[in-house]
Amino acid sequence: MTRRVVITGCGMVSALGNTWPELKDALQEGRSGVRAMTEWQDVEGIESKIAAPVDNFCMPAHYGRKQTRSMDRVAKFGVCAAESALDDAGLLIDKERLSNGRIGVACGSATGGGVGVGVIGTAITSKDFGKITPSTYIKMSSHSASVNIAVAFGITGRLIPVSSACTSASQSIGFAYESIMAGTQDAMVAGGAEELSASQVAVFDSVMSASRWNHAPELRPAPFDTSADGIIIGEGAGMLVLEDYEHAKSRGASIYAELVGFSTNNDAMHITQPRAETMQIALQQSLQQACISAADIGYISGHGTGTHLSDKAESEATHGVFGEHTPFSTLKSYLGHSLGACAGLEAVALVNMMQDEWFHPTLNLQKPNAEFLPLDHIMGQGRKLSVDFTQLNNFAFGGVNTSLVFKRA
Amino acid sequence: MRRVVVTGMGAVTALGNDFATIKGNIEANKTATKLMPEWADIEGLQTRLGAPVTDFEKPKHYKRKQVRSMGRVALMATVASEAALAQAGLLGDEVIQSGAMGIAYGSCSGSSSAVVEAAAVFYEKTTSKITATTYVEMMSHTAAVNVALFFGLKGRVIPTSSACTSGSQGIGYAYESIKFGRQDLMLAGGAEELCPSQAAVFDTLFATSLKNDTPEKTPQPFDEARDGLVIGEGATSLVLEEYEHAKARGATILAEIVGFSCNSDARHITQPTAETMQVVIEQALDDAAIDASKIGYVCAHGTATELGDIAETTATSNVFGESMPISSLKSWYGHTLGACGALESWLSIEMMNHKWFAHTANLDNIDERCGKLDYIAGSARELSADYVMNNNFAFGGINTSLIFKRWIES
Repeated sequence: MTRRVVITGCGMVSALGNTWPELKDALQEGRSGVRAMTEWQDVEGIESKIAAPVDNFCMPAHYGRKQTRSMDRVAKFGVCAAESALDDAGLLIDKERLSNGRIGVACGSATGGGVGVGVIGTAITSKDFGKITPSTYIKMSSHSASVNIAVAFGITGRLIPVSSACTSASQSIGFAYESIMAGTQDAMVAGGAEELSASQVAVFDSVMSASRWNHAPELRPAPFDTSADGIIIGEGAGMLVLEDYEHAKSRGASIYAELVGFSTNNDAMHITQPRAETMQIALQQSLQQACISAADIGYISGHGTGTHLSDKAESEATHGVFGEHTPFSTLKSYLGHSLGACAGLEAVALVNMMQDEWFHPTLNLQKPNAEFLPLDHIMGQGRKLSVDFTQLNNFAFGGVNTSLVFKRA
Repeated sequence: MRRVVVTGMGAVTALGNDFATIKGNIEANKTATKLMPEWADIEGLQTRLGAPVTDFEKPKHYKRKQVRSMGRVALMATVASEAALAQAGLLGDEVIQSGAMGIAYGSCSGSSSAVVEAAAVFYEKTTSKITATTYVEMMSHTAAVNVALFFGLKGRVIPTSSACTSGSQGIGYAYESIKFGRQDLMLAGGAEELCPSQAAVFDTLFATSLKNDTPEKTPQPFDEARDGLVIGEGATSLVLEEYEHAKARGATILAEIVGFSCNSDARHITQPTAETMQVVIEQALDDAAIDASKIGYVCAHGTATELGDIAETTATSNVFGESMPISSLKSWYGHTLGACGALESWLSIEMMNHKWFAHTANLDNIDERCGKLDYIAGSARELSADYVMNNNFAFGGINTSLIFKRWIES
């Protein structure tokens, strides 16, 4: 018997607020999280000096030094978002349930903590290992957030460390969904976290895909726009609590939405260039798994990074499945590309928008690029929509594609 | 329920890349531990011991374009995967490029050379060392993505980088993907490249062996004279396949995977917990729907750290009692981190099929604080087992248990 999987909690840390009402305000006002990075002025070799940082983040005082010593910024984001999600689901106080082995964690990041990476990298170069401590590896490891979440909340079920760059969070949500569906877990905290680092920008810079619109940061990124010139890196964390439907019902939890489809596949063509054909297969497979047709989807949350190759391939794949009449927008136009966190934040926004029946536009999109296949881009103001099913699509460096289908509760 | 079988296995290891060579080395009491003269000038590192793969080279038939995004860890994983696919009779078969085959693979970290390039941003404030392939080489799922690309695997990629359980989670999550109908074929495993910074992480916990003058005598899992672990490297890949799929194409079946479980201690970031280890072992038996008495051999994690050895053997003894044969392959290979769960699974299957089980090297006097078990010591043992278990436990509190069943043609 297949078990149904529902969302009972949401939590986030974002450049535009740590609660849905705060983020929604910004989305409605058309406020962007992108700003000039004056702190990168002295980093040699980066052309892109704009990003979407989480400013004024500080770890809540109830976390002691002993708890935070194995956490870099990325793990702190993850832990805070997980705390909100667990609290929202009514599980934070239920210590017994968290440690009964039936609740797990699936979480990933593109990389671990920058400080940890810096310590290890510098030690190797200088042959001086004096700065390496027991927590250095945990801080720099790509599964740093998941391990720290498990320890912080005493969660003893399975841990799925999903670090697959920009699909880390969507794969986490997908693999958590499968674990619950198969009966190996009753609930899972699932999502992703990422901390901003100049090294990430440099990676995209090196393949000429980071935006260089340094003179007007708030106008970038501009996904799908004729004037788009690349991605902007962001940071944050987005977490869901996924739960077996019967389990949620029996404890009287309120339900945001149901997760009814997941698919993940791989381009296997090029390490950094996307491929529309395999993307399209992923989109079709998640619909098949949900046993619905393309016409049932009322809104698509796109990956929409703002790079020409990726936006073009995504448009082609999306158009191939849905044609041009399904409403479509991308949260990255507000928050930049938060890499391992992006799908977590997008999922949190998505399930809330389904409930509120209001969907944000793609910010900075004025003139969709005519080279791309047409889609029903939500532009300017957001759109009021009552929808039963939505799809969330993500695509990573390395060729990993994911597609998730949510159903209104 | 769909059954999952192993139809191919390949490896790159410090003691040889095929079972006959490895068995010969073990029978001759040759371990992989060596003094690392190249680490002599590293300040702040106490241990000078490692267990490197000394004869690994890029195969000549790999073109430059195919390997330009690969560091050592990804290259070792690709070579191991090629051998596994060849044994399964799938190399060059178009089915592996059809979307039917995915990959679940992990490492502790990506390639160190790329980490150095990225670190320059933080300490030298320059991005000049970063190239288009820096991130792909340094990311912890570099092996998974590179192997998928090399062989054209279009199925799911499951990145399982969870430190010392990367390889065992790779096998476990691949097993579940096939069992639950997501894929018919998976490559699964783990890889790691040796880097002194890994040794340093354990060094700071006083968990590395400092027997720098007697490399051949250490590590010593379960021995009262043990003084810590030695870091190794290598790669192991298994081809997992849905049983009917394997049967239909007449594949040779090497073993069946019948049980997997994974949980977390959620107590301490670096210290193990016997209680949750025991739970994971019991859950794997539940998943296999067999009684503990069916297991004929346990392949231990056995790192040769005091806390780890005691916690693990206590958990194992609580489940199986004192007559369970057990040994640690880390006494031969050192701790290959992200590779160990796959390497030890592979050798457990080979040992089961050859009815010959390696002993724990350098185990002379069993630490009394370890759980009571039948420690295979002194020399290898002839033993017939229908089921073997491979257990792994990671830094961060992640535990895994896998059960393999001997394949008997019906």
